[in-house]
Amino acid sequence: MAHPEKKIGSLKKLIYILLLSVSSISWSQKEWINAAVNAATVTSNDVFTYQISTDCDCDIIAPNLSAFDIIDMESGKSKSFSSFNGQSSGEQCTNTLTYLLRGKKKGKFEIGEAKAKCPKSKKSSTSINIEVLSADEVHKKAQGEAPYYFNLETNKKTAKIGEPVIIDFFMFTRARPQDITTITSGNAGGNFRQNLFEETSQGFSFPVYQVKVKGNDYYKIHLRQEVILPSAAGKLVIEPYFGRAVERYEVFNAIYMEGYSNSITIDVKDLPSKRPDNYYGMVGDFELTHAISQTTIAAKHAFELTVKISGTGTFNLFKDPEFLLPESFGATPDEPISNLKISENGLTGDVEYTFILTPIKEGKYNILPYSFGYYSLKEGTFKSVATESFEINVTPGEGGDIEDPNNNGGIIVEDDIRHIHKNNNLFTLSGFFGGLFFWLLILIPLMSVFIFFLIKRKKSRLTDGEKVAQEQREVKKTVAKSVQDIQKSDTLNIRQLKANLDEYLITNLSLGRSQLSKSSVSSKLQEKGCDDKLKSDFESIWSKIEMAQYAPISNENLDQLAKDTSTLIKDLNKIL
Amino acid sequence: MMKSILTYLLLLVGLTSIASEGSTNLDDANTAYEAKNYKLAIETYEALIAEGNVSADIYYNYGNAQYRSGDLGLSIWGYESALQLDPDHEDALFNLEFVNAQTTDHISTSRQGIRHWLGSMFFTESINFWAYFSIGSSILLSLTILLFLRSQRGRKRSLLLLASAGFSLFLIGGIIIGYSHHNRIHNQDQAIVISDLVDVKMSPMDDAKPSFSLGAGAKVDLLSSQDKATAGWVEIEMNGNQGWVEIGSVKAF
Repeated sequence: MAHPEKKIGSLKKLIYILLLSVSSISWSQKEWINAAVNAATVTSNDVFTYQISTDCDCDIIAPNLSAFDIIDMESGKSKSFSSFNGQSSGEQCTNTLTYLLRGKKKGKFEIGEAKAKCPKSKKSSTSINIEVLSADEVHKKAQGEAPYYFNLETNKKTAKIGEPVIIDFFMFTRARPQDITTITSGNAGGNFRQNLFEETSQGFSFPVYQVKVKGNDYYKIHLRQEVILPSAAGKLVIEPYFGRAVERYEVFNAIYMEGYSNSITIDVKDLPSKRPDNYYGMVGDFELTHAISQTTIAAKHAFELTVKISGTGTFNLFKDPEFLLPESFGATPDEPISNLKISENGLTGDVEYTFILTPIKEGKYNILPYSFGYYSLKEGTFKSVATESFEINVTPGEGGDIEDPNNNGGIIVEDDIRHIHKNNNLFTLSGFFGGLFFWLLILIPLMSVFIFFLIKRKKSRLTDGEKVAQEQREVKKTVAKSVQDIQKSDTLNIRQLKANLDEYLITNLSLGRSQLSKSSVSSKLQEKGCDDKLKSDFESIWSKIEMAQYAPISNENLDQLAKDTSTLIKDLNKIL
Repeated sequence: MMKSILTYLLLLVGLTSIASEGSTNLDDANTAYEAKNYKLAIETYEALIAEGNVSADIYYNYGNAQYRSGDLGLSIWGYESALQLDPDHEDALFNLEFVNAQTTDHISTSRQGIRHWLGSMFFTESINFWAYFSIGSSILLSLTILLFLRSQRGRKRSLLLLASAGFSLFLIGGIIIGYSHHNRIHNQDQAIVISDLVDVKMSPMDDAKPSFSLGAGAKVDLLSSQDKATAGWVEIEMNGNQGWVEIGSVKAF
């Protein structure tokens, strides 16, 4: 029998081992790989998805996919969070590699194991079997039997280079779809192509016909019509078009009808090998017209040369016209005006080129003709169109403004610098701005306001006694000055003298105007400590002023009285 | 106060007399230019500029004289200097574009960005305009404050307070723009290549490896001022490329 402590020890060990095993299992589960396809049976037209997923720490090693065409490949990483019973189980990072594949030929193929090289181990996915059916066989089998299928048709199996070929993409379906969501054209080898349906225009609807195929009724929906202008001889393969339609909308999703069409091969014949020198690939039927605004023009004036190419054909290959101009001619090409339309016959319309030419020097010049060659589909031969040669007579000109052929307000051609200016407004850089004088002129007005503000503030803070004293001081000054002024004045005025004396006494003796009498002033003077002489001087002056108001007084006496009053105020100022 | 006004008047008279003296020389230079004596015109313009008498037109005329005498680099320097003082100088812009088209580098004269926008907005007036503008604003600000302090009525006080705020902004704005203009002219942080062909070197040494070359008329940013040049070399930058050139091969503006 084992010792109980030992039993507990071995149990602990067992628990540790279990925990370790669980943690290592959970750790090993972090390293994983998975591979999947979205369809196991496809036609040779179908593009299907093959995706490999693994943990972010692992590097993916893809299997051999040489049995398939790789249409596209994309890799990426994504993170997700998962939780169980409200508890987060952590972040999971997924590394994915996605291929878009298409079968090369019919048969059964195996996509081998995808491998993942992880930090702890190497992982492998299971292999996947793909059955590729012949698209043509499936397509033929589907015609008239399948609930829906897509068909690609052409108006020509053989065409010349540059000859327009029409490609029509149809959907045959027993149930009329509620919506068309996707139409993708197959590759056409980089040839010029243009959709003849204006699918994006308002009110556009796909043409729908009712047809019978193998005795079954189908809706034939014309999804796309394209014109292709082949540019090279050989086999032109139009790869399958893809279509997707909504059969019906349900509450939360839609039921789609989607698939690829058949492909089409067109035999493109080369053009005759004997070609004109000015041929560079134009096919169709073209005309060339031209116009020149003037053939006699002054030097440094402009004239206009217009070339218009019209017709039907490979305008997509047309190169901008180039004229061999004399060296002394300046040329400014305008934006070409294009009036081209696409139709079943290819590109039809015209393109107009305008050149503004400016001869600089006088003389007679010849502008050589411009031409280009093309293969006429109507006549089955090479042809050439050309402008005339132009003789331009350039007369002496003064330069400056040139005539604007479009009357757009004149174009200025100046072939020299502009003349000097004769303004004499010189200034010095180390001048006034920022100098001491500048700052003084800025600060003086502001300082004046500041000082005014300080004085005003100081005044507003004075006590009543200080205000009275200040007022008295001012009155003393003003009255003394007024009396002196009266004395100096040519026209002496006794009333003015009295008014000044009254003002002085009211302010300095704190008397009311009604209290102004000889006796009351005398007693106040006595209270203020004035001696008898000053008091008697005051009484004498007061009496004389009162007398003078009623009895005429000579100028000499008035002068003396003003002098005495002035002396009295000066004496009183010493005491009050 | 009277003394200040007197000083100011005296200064104005002094400046006017200097200006009129400069004008006489400027007339001489312009006459020499019209007589196709470009060498004399250049010497007279240079003498005026050296004396500190400047204007957008004098630099413009100097650029014209240099162009006529065949020096594209210095003519571009003249036009750029004119545009420094008056960013909207139409004829300087035209001539600069015209001359730049003849340089080996076919330098673009496109003037865009905030620097040019600020220049067109505020630096078309002379510095002294901003000086007078600031002084005028200061006087008007003082008057409105004075009236505000003396005013008793509420509505009048509000209006005066508003006017004071406006004149304060004018005063501050005037001083800031004036100083910016002043710095813009005095900083001289750009230069024109005046030598026919300059090797821009990786380091300020004669035997240093050339980084790239610039033709006459190329406009560069100066990374070190010409005053503080390292033993006859100055560091430049053009389109993000940096290097050193000999000090005499560029002229700052």
